[in-house]
Amino acid sequence: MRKIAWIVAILVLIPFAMGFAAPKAKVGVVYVTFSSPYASAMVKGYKKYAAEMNVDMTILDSQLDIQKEAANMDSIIAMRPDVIVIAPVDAEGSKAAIKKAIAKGIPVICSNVTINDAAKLGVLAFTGPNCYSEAQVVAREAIKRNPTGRVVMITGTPGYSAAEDRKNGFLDTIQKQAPNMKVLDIQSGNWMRDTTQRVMSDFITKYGDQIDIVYTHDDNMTVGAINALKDAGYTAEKRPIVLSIGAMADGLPAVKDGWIDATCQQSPWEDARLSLQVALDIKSGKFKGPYKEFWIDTPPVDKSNVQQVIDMHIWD
Amino acid sequence: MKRTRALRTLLSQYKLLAITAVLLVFMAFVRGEFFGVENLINIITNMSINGILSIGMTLLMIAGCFDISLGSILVLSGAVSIIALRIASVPVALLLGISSGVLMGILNGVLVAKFKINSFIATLGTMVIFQGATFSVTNNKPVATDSDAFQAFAMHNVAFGIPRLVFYFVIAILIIWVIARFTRLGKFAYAIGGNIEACRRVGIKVDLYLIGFFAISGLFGSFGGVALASKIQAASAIFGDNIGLLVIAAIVIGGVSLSGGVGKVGGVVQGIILIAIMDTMTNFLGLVGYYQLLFRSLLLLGVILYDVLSVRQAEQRLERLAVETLRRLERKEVG
Repeated sequence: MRKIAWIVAILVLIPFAMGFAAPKAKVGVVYVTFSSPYASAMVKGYKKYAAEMNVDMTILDSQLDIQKEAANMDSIIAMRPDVIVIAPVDAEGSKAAIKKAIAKGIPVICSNVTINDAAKLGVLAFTGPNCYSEAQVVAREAIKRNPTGRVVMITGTPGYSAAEDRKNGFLDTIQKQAPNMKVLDIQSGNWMRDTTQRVMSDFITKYGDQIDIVYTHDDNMTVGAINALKDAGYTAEKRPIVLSIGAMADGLPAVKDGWIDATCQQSPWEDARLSLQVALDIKSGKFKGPYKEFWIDTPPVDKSNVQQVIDMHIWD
Repeated sequence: MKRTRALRTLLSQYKLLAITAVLLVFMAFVRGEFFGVENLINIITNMSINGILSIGMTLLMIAGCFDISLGSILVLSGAVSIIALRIASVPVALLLGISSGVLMGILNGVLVAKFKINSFIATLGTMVIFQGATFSVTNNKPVATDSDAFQAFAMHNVAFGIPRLVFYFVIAILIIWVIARFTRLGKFAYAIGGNIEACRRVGIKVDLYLIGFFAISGLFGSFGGVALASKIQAASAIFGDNIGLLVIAAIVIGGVSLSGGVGKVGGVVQGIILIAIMDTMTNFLGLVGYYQLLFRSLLLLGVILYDVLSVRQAEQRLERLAVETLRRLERKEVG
């Protein structure tokens, strides 16, 4: 009798065990490049969350090469995943490979970067940061600290959607909520630290103590601006308000040391996690379309919560 | 005895294919889905464009010259054909794109042959010029087309899901193989690569032939560029960034000596196939992207070392033979 009970128990448990072991979804991720700090942190995030969320994930590096991306997409499609997540190399050139996947019945999510006319092509979702609302977060931080301050802005490369959105989000918000705030000047730093340092230096020469608030589009550039401020004799205690976007490797220590008042966090781990979550929702049928944009949370990081973010070790 | 000798010769001639076969057997055990028909067709299709470029540059490298601007020829010709689609028909756009490569090749040839600029440096310069021209005509943004007829040029399904592009690759191989093996043009490529001064002294119009080889390289480069534009229905100045050195690597791995004068088309084809298999293998094994570069570089290094060592071995053998002959002459055994 006992023997039979054991056998029955085991037979009943086996399907449960298989249910636990079987992954919830098979996801293929094709990422434009693994080489930038943001990208390599995001890849780390993908691996972390794929394990946590029980997703069978394959992630491939397109190495900024359109032909490599086409080959990667072919390999992934051959593995017949449930969902494909792609950060495309080119807004036009990547369409052919995405079209191929959709034609084979595999739903496609664009992550962090998108193609033109994504909805029209049949892409099911976009997950990633909303640069316009990141700028709105920064604007609110500025208004909180000095609603009548005078602002200089150092932007990313003109024409880049991230730069345009991070500029307009800020300007539109202060126009409505802080009409007494004045913008002294806006110049491009081209996403580069040394260019930004030069621009900030010029601003200090031109406007001197008139500058109340410094806003740059990216932590990397902000470090350049801070260097210019240091050279001009400003200290962490006596300086204009400094606001930034990213909460990245060089931004976090600057917040801790008291040089950046607030930076809007764009977490590559959140970016990765959200795309996997939407992939799971597509597989389970929770999300069936039509095309929708899923934004990651981009909260501000200041002295009060910077240590928590540092402790997550996203960037090392 | 004879049979092992024949086997050894066969292996040395087809050593790259032998390595490829070993890799394929490995993949059969580890990841069976690698052998899906769909995947194999994809591998062949994806190797075709760089394959056409590599084959096109083989004669030039046998003649001892480099063309690093090939990646930029690819993007400029692709951009030309897509932009031409706005005002012309598909055949005209194709023609304009493909012929633009001949012009670019001739420019390269003139710089090297007439102005006597080192080919590496000259084509490094034209690489920047052609890419700059591409940024300029595309206004720094990718250009695209909806034309299905244009896509059909490369991707029309000929049979069993194999697109035209693969057949273009095969035809390219045949053309260059015939030229290299059976025509004067091919023989002169080997001659010029072997000893360019001797060729000049003998009266061979070296300059003309060099320009010809550059023009052929440019032609195949632009054919590949138009084919890529057709495949993805887009063109952008950055699509050719990695291609120049990649193409040279395939040719050198295929047995064409860096100093010229040596090499076979068959070897280059084997090199192209091996690289394509290695790249797809790393994808299927889930290895991170830089392993592709690592394996390819190790292979390249291995081939170059083998090349250098076997030349050294041959020289040593010749030296020993010369010493032995002299000794026998002294002892009056010979002569």
